[in-house]
Amino acid sequence: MSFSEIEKNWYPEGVERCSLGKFMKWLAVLGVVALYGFFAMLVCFTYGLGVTGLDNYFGFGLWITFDLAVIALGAGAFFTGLLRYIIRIDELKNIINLTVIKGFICYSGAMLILSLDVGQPIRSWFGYWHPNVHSMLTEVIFCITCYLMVLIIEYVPLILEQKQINKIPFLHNLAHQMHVVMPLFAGIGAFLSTFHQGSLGGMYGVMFARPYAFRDGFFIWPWTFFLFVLSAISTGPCMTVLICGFMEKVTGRKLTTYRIKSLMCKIGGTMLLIYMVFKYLDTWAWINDILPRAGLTFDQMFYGLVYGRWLFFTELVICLLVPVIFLLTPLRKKPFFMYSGAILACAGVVINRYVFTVQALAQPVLPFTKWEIYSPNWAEWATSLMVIAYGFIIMSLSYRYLPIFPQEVGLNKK
Amino acid sequence: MSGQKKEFPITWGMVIDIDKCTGCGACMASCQTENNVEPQRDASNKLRSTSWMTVYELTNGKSYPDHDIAYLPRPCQQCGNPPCVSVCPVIATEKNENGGIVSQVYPRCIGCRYCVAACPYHVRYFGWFDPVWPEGMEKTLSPLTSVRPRGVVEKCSFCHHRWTLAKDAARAAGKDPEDLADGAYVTSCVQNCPSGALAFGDLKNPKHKVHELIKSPYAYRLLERLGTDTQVYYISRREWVRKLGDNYLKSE
Amino acid sequence: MGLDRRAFLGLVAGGAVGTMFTPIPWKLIDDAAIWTQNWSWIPKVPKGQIDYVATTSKLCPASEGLKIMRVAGNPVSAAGNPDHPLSRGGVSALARSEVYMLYSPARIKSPMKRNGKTFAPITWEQALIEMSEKLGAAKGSVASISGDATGTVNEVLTALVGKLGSAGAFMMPGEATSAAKALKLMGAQGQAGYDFENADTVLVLGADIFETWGTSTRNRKAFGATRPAGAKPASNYIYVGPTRNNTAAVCDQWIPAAAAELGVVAMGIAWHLLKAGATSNAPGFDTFKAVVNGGFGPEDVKRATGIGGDVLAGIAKSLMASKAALVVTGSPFGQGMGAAPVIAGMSLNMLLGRINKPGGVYMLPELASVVPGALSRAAMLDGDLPAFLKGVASDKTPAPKALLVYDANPAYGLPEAATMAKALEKIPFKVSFSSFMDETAALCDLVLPNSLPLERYDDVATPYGSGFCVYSLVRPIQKPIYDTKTSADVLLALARKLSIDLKFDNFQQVLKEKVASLSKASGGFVAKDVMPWQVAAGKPAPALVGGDLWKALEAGYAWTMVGQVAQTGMGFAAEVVAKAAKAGKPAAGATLAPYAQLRTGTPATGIPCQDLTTVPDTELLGENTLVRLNSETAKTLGLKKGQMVKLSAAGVDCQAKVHIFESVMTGMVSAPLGFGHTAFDYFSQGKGANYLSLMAVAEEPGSGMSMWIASEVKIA
Repeated sequence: MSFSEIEKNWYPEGVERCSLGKFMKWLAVLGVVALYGFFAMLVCFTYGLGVTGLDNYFGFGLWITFDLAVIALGAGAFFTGLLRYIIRIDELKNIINLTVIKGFICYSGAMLILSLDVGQPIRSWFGYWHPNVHSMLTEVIFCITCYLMVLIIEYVPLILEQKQINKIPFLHNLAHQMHVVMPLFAGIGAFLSTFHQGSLGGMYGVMFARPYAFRDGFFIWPWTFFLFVLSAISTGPCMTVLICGFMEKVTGRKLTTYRIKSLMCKIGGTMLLIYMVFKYLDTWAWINDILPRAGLTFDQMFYGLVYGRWLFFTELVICLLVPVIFLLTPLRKKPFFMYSGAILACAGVVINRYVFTVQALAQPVLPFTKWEIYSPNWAEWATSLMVIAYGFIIMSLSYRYLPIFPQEVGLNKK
Repeated sequence: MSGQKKEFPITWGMVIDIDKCTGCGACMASCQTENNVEPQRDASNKLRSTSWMTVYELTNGKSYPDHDIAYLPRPCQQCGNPPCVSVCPVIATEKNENGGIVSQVYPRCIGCRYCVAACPYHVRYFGWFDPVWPEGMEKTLSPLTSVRPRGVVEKCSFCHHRWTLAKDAARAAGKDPEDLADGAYVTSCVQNCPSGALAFGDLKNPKHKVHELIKSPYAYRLLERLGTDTQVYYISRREWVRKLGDNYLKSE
Repeated sequence: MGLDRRAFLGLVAGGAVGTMFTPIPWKLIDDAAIWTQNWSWIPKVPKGQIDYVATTSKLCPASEGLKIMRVAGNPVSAAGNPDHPLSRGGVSALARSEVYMLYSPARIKSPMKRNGKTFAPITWEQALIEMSEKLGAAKGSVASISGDATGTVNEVLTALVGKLGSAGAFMMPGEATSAAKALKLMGAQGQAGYDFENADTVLVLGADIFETWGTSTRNRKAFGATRPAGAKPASNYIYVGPTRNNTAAVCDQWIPAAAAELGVVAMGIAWHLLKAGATSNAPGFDTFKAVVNGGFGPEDVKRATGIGGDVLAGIAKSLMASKAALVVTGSPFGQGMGAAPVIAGMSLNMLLGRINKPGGVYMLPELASVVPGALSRAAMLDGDLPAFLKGVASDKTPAPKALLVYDANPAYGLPEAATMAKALEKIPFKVSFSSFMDETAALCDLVLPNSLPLERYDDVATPYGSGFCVYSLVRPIQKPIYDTKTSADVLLALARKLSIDLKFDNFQQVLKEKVASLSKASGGFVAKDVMPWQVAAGKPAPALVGGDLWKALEAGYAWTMVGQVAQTGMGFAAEVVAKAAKAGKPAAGATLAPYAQLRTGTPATGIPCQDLTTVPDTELLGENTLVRLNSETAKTLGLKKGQMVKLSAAGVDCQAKVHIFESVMTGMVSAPLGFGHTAFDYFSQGKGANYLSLMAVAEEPGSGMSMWIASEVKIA
């Protein structure tokens, strides 16, 4: 029996997959991108971060934006887990596996970028060894690493359910036992994840000498803490739907019902509505209280094209109000509006993370300094693309060999 | 607002008379070498070069001939309520020791640059590459400041090592190291300024000149309204210069 | 009993778990902090006993006294010496760099001989033989250029050249050149010294007194002392010049005036002084009065300079009202000024009765020379190097057969660079005694590296601008790092080889003799508790303490003397001014107004590596230097911010980026000097353009000296 025949036995029960040759070509393309990024990563580690486009104004740049966006979009995992296992919306079992893998990819990818982004990666565990409990970043380090472990624990049983692996009795039982305790991990995950999504926002909100980012708040948490949680849980499910839709497009197979996707989008849209209300209130308070207190005006927060006001309106109207309408009205029944709504919502959160990361630093606080422009260079793009390629590879392998979509067999019966 | 204001019996502070600064750069050159900052080949990229002390050029924004300029030397402002300290995830920067100097612990720093982002004064610099001195020049390194490897954040320390030296000298002379005479401890930039534009001392010690200087009606601090409560004061008799120390709304 | 697999694994696992309960792994992990701080390729800081020794800065023209910090005997940093009257603890960015310059990549590490287009190292013995042969053959036609304006080494150099048959022993032109010429034309004796410490109203005509002019560190200390922070200033400084430069930035008033019109401005102020009744019994007063009234009335001056009569009247009023007024004249970029503006400025001092008065101008005596046959400083300053080289270039003057260049870089540091390079090419045998591989050394046949000031004995005698006579010692703080020698010693050895008697065997003997001569001068004292300006103001001068003056000088103290040369017939020389001070024609393109700063070094030092960081990005950006013009000029010329342009004049083109800067007079292009090196190291090379090369040399009417105070440039 040839290898391509053997390989067929590894597929989940009752599904069809593209030919091995085609799949290898697909992997090869992704592999080239990933290798290029890996090369850039080695260059960064060897020579130092001077090879990037970062500088003393923009200590945070593409990488941090990328991390924050990826982590926000990866939030579908914990939130869907919460709904599925704790709130027990049973239908979500049909998409939960996808969200777990997406979460795993996003978080592990973000960790990879983070280890690049710190100047002394060998010391990156100092967050545990010498923690500053007052720092939002300490909370982020804690929660992200712990949550990544939770995601691994959630991902492992999926791997164990692979047809051939599952034949081994020990592993079969292990997978079963792990499924039994999954609500516990879903709970822990939800807790950890909520906190670090929040503390990522808190990171910016506490920068009281950066009026662009600074926010008042509740107890020790600035409003951005809650806004980041809300924006993450509203766009996370949307991202899951987009990935699912994209996979259906690429594979030409139906993976979940429209109903499930629509449900996810409805959940996302609902959260987005809540987020929108708070975000608008927050923006109003920012313009009318925080900025005047700092002696600044709304107009002074924008400059030129890359820091232009268009970003503000795109984020708050086109990528917030519009998707809320698309996702929460009967328009959602039409795929065009559902998918557009999801795309806009996700784009909105990316813009939000970008402006908080880059524009907040570009805005000159000292009156005698000027706006500076940041542009990421090849090293930052290559490594970010590497993570995207890595995500595609993990997802492709998982789709090909693991029973992710319980509905796939039924939906594709001829 | 995170961070809390701590009070220290000794509060080292700098008073910079902008009306006396000619912008010559002697303070910057003094700082570079006192603190083992490598000579930088392309120092014209100001976003990448390291200069703990930097001289900014201020202008009143008018056209010739009503135009006016002033030079503003900017060391670390040693905030009373530092935006950078509370954000550090690994306690690599602290404001704990007497004197109120914001410290930076190089072997502790992981290089996350969160403090760089939090500081509105741009006093924090990151080691983008390992430092390199022209051959032999490492023999001129100051023994009092460590050389930083790449990947950590560094900043002005008010030449903290000189305080240690001054205290040692006081002890050797049988004097109280906690009550240094005015001028017994000054930073390198203050020492070498040819115009005498910079003054340094204990802001709380009535025997020190700076104690009086900060009460001048012309004294001000940078970005006071943000609540950073800095330990560096500026003096200018020109109103437009003072106004550039902070942001003001049109109605103010 | 053997160890089976199970037991082994158990042991390993147990051991591993057990270790976790010991401090070992945790300690190792924590140590990561230390070893990531101490990678082998990160330089270690030196360890050892710290001490401080004193010397004087020789690289910086401001001649500050220095306190050098050493670790285990190696110098590590230079700070101002609080006990030295020219430093008082202050130091320029250039003087601060003295220590690091020891290891500058541009240093010449051994004697070298030209071999085609490159250099090959030779021994000092070979170098001496080579030089004695070539100079012996060139007898009667040997010229020298010195870049050292204050050292006794000039005596050795000029005595040797004199005895070889001099074709001219020149000093690199600077502020002292035009001042010396002016005093000569006025019939005055001595070197002009400016008592800033005791002055209360200072009118600065062009001179960048807080940056490049004279004893700038001392000037700033004096300025700062009259400006208590946050309180009412006890002095009034008025700056007249084409830009609001570093000096003007701290002055109470800036009056824009073209550098070429400074003489006119001075005469215009004189008109107001005369009108108010100022008078003088110095020779030539009547002519002066006639000249002023004849052509420098308020209307004339307004037409020529754009400065209103009320402004000049105001200046005249504050000068007359003050107890100790002082007028200082100089070039905004430290060179190229003719004699006439200095005469005009000095005339104001005379009208105000400020000659040889506290807070005024002192005519300082030159210290006695010790090397027989040496030229006096006044005689050296009388030479006109640009005129000489221009003559050589155009074959009007025969090219000397040999040229000795000491501590100077004429190939870079002179105006009209193209002409000067052509002249240097015509000289068949050239020797450079430079410490660094500069543009001139690169052209020479022999390069004989001078030890740096921290490695040699040397001295500083009354730098131009100092308000008092001052002498301080430069002494070796460490052994020469490379195979270099003190050039004065090499010159003395060469003299011996050529059987020329210069009386001394080595330079230290010369200096000892010089110091011995100082202790004989009456009125001299070591500045310790009493500073010379206090003596000028009336405090009794302390006696020169018995004991060893040499030792006191080695300890970093300065010998000073407050005194003046008795003047016989110092007059107004108005006829010179009448010829020279005429309103220039308005430039068709723009007028180049260069400025210089100590942080970019001198032509002889290049840009000190650590000082590169102090250069703002409005001066140097990447590989381009920026020129400054105001928005009106930019509009007229059709230029935009950030635009790359080409400046052309004197047959030379220079690249520049446009920087809109409003503190520049309309019609002026302000350009930084000190950039555009083609030699030195990667800290100087390829950074911007040398705008000095655009300055055209002209002969000043009346004085006949070379001047290059303004140059019309085309901008495209």
